[in-house]
Amino acid sequence: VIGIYLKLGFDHILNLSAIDHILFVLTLCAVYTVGEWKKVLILVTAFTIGHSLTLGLSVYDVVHFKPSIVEHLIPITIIFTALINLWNKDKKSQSMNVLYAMACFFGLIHGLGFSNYLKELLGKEEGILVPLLGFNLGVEGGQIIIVACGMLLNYILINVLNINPRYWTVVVSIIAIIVSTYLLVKLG
Amino acid sequence: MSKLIIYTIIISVITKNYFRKAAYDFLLMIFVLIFSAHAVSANAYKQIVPLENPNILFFQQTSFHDIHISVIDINAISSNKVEIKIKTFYDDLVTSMGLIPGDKLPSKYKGPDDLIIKFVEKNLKFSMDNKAIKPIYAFSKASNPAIWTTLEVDNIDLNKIKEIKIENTLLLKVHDDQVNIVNVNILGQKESYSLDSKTKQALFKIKH
Repeated sequence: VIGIYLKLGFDHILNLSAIDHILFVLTLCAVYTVGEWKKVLILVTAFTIGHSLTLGLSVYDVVHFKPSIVEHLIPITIIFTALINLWNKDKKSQSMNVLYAMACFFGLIHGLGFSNYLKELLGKEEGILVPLLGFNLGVEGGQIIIVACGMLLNYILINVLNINPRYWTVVVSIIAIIVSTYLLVKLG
Repeated sequence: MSKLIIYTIIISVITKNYFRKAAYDFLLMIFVLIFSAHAVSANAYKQIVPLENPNILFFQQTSFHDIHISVIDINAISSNKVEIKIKTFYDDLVTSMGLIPGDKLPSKYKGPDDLIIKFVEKNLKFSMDNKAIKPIYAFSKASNPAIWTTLEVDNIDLNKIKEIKIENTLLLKVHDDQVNIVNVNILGQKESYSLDSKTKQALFKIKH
């Protein structure tokens, strides 16, 4: 059973309709170059931990958010991350620990998005833990692939085409802001 | 637009550093615009139509879902009774019956239950040992944004049945990426299937 949901999560993230998720992960890692892969890995892991926490909390009904609030929060977190990228020109001035905490917190919010309706569909008492766990793991796998593609593109742009690393950060962040603003407006 | 990009590339190659930098800026701007427009037109978020008529509704739909799945649980309650639980998203169900979520239920349906019965009959076929069986509709229960429908199959002898075939075309016409999960648990034997537009059938063999 876990394999089915693993594939479901994986396909879900590597899909154009999950554009908000893809953008968030790319934006989160947009400041870093291939040489800083360790930081990127920690960031993605922090995001994963946030996801998993939400998973546990929502299964046991510890927290309950109105779905509409979560839907609005997701684009807001993306815009926030992108703005941080744009404002902080000197990345050495940022404390990494704060960024890791932020990624974890945002993971929490993003996890709520699908935990909510999956819980309603699958039912609370009927062994929901395994499907949700599988789904989340699949999503994480997909995220790592997205980040790897982003880093590869980043590497080509910087080292082959000799483009200033700052361009990548700015372009990814601006796209993220435009798309997220659109999503927010559409949600009303 | 494409000519503009080509000219910009040519200019950026010919000119020296200062102009090249300006050209990069210009190219990036165009890229950002094109990509954003594309991403936006991908219609990432589904438009929510509030359901107004309480007659068709069991609940007020407030949230969207971007995962297109349904789950069917087939469980043996005793050796001669099987319960089939169908879990779908309600707006998907309504859309697949050619209706718009929020619109009035057409008079050809006696009520929401009737709509659900037609939905199930149209999209789900069961057979045991190559003999078609018609489950009896029991009830539906809604929990925003999902709906659960329970069907029952009576008067069978599971100890004599060798295989159960499930043909599932639920919501395949509504979403390209629809995945229909089927979980079977009969006589302590468990199996799960992931069905989609390529694989519509599941065959469960009972070992005796």
